Amino acid sequence: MTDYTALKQKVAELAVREWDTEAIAGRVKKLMRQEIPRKKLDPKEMKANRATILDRVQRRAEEYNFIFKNCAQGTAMALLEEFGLGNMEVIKALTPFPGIGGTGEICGGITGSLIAFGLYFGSDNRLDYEAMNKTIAISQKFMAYFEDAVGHLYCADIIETLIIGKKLNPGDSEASMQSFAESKGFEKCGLPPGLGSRLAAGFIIDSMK
Amino acid sequence: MSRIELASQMLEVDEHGFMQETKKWTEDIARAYGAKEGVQELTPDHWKIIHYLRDYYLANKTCPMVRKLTRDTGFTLKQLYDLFPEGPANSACKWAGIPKAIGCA
Repeated sequence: MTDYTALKQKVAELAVREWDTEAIAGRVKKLMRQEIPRKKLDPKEMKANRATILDRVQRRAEEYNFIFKNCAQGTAMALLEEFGLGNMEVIKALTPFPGIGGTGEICGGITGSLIAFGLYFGSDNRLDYEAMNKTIAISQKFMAYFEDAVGHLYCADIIETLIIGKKLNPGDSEASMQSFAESKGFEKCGLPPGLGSRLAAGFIIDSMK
Repeated sequence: MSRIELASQMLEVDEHGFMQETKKWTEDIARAYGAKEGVQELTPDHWKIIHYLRDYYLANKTCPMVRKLTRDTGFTLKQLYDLFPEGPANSACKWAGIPKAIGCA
């Protein structure tokens, strides 16, 4: 059940947060220079540190969203970094995905998470239909939980009910974008990347055997 | 293909346990599938989804996409996962006695 009171408190916290932009930019530059380091994931260790990992992924997704001004990239960056997946080309490819091309469609907190699922659960064998079905099934379940946690799947609905409190498409015009920025939209829009990446990281850790 | 016994009937199923002869389906088979997944009693909400899926399949020879299922029945995707442990594709369709959806749908 969506807890709108808690969500609005979180949005308010994001709006007044002091962002260490220098440190966040430093991390991003390092990843651009050195690429995303591969990791040997120890299921036992991951499960033991589940809460810490989820807190870290959520925080980083909020920070990356803020510095990129892009929820899909922010979400994916936090997940790919945490689990040692993919590369910075994947992040680049996500450039047009906030609200699917800025149309107000599916939230980037979802697309960024699904990209990570594809990299983690998908197979290098394009003819491995079992892996494809499993990845789609996990993605669908994730979307069910995302909708339950955030209340919506669509960018336009999230902006209206949680982020700004009125209908606004930042991609509509320069004036809309300015209004979104002045309403601290980029800060507040860390909510879905944070919650999405947190849920996605939980799904990945829980799948580990 | 293999055969399993459910609700006192021998049924032809695929490797994931989905019925291949949808006409043999009965409500007792749905209850038996539910019990196998730990759901001992099917509620009116379960039956609403199961009958929607069966009617849709029998009319269209294909399963509805999830977005259509949620729009037409009024349930959220999360509610479907709460009702059917493995979700609409892997539990609800199976319990409704229709073949497993293939491909990306």
